[in-house]
Amino acid sequence: MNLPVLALRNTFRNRTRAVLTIGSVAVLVVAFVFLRTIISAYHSTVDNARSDRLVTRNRVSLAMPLPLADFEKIKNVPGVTAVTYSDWFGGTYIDSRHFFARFAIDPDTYFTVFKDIAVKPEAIAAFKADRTGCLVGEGLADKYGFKVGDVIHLKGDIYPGDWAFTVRGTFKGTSSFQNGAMFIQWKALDQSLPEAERGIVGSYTELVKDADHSPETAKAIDALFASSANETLTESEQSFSLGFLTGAAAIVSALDIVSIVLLVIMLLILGNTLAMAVRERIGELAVLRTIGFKPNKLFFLALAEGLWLSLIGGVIGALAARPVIGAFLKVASGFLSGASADRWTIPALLVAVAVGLLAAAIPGLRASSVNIVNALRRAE
Amino acid sequence: MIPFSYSLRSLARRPLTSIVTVGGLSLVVFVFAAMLMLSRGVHDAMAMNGSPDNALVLRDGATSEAVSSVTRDQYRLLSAVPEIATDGQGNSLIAGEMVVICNLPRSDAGPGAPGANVGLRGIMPTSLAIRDTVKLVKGRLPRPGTLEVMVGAAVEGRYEGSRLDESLSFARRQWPVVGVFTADGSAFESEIWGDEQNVADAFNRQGYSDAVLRLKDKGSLASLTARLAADPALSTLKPWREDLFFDAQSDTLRTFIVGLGTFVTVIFAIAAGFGATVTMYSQVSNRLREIGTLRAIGYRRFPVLRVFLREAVLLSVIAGIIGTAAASLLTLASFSALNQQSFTQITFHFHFSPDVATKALVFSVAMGVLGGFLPALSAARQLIVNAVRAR
Repeated sequence: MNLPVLALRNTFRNRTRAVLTIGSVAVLVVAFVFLRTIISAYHSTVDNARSDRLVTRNRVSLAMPLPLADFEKIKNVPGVTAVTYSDWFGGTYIDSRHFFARFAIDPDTYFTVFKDIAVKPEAIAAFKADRTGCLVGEGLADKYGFKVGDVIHLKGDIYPGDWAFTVRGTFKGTSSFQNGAMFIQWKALDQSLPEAERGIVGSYTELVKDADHSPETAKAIDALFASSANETLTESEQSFSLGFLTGAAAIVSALDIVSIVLLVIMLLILGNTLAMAVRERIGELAVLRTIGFKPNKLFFLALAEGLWLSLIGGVIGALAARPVIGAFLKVASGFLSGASADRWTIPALLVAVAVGLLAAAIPGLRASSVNIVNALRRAE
Repeated sequence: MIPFSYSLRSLARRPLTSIVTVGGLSLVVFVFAAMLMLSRGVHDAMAMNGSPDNALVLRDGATSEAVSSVTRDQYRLLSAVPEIATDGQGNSLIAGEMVVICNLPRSDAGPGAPGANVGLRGIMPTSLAIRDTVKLVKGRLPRPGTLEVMVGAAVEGRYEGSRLDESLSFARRQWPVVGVFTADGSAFESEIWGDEQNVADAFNRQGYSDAVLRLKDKGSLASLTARLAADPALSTLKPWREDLFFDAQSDTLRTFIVGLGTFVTVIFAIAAGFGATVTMYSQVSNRLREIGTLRAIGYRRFPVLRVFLREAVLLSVIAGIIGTAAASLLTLASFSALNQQSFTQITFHFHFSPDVATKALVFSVAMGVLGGFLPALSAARQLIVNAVRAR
């Protein structure tokens, strides 16, 4: 019987304790994956932003519109290869708890600029052909079970009235936020407005030829409108997305802290269990020392026990994380609907194992420094 | 009955295990209490924004003030409805307001860093009579018809130019800050208030976002609702009780915080409960001889069960007190987040109350009882013969 096997047998000698400890580790791993997934979803719009895309919005705030007339001017700025525009439609689906992003876009130019959105050409064609059609992100379609041909009813707020849009296709967005979004036609929106209020858009997105020169291009765009009634602010897609993240910075850092606290609790629970195990077996350890086991072997014995507990708990947790979190994300709102827990399961398992080894360190030192005479006397 | 000091001294005999267990449990209590405090804080900030005596009239379907609009004609008709209360001089207590969002650079961030969305409210002089929680704490009120503004306490110093006697720069204008106000900790404190006409001009807007009015009496809201619905010129508007409207504005954020907080607390409680169970089981197995002795000198099964349960509860009470005390320190901190529904940055405070402390302690004791029950049961069920023989 080698060391790891002996450690495994030791682990399960007190079955209740082992099961409870492994259970705690598994639950904490699920929670850890969950929190990291949410944090990643917050970051994903920034992580997936491309350096060759710029966003132009009204300098005052994103809530202020820009005239459509800017479109042609921006298109002619040197360095800009393509431009598209979109507008935040807003509105309410069922009630405010069913929040997801709804953008009015121009289907002719949008997918040229957002070339990383995966969408079938047939879907774009069907969308274009229907003024009241819409495209939905795959995350959104999954959550509500939207299929091609379904009609989505929205109550307008920025654009008042009752709206109905027919699903013409789905797309795979670049970030979890976009993957949970819905696109409608900007033209449909524009024509619902009185003549005098037509021709406004929320923001422009530009594709630039050379990402290295995008700051100059951004300056050139803003210079065009510097003395107009609608001054613009052009920034990289990344810093534009960062603006949203800044708003949620407090939430993200709270989640960050909680996810670390989870690990501390895991450390305490594992450490407690291992300390008990060593304390109970002090006599046995003395016997092992007597028959020739070196102190470092006893240290590794404790370490291996910590490894088994955290590994088994971690594997169970990592396997459970996917279905549990998947079920949660299905009912979650907004930007979370496109998130996935997959990329955090393996890191969480590794973290759990590291915590297990760390927790075993102090009990391990105690095991390796056992005083044979005293321990044997106590074992009497 | 087994003396209380017996339980205390048992815990003190294994200080490390006791401390580790209490540490784990108090972390759980801390998170639980913090979640309650924050959710209460969000509710306070939003609901206390409004008064049950006021009505807010918005365009039907508008989900926030910034996307609502009321035309000047509609406002004129609205000012004449009999449901509006009057002040001592006989003036109608109604105000048209313009709410817009402006993106301001934060004073703690470097140049080029993303700004934050701040609510800017253009007010009329009557607004202050209607919103009686608003109190000027520094400087003076902005003069009507000027670009002067006053800023909420949560805005002061947070953005560039937001201190008293500095000036904010947005919409191609300079807005001198002449006053700082508080509003009982509500979300108004996260706003900038200026002159309605100048705000509308600067943002190229006609009319108002909404109208706020003081209701004459309790029944006025119902009759106002009926009146607007019946009037073809006003039927696109909808009145809300002001506090309920603002409270609904924080729905998404509060649901998110409560949902997440509940999830985290449940996970923590399971883990910490398991941890407590492990500790108590080991107490039982280490003290078998003690248990045997207690039984042998005449204590029955129930007192033995009680003594172990008492130890578990004692651990959880200590943890509850530590966790709650630590959470109460959070009242010193504030929490700033983008409210999805209004699209503005709002500062919340952790709200500590006896109610939070009670809930946290009850929660903590419940964890102790659940975690300690099975080990205590196994202690009580030991056979005396085996127990006294144990090492």
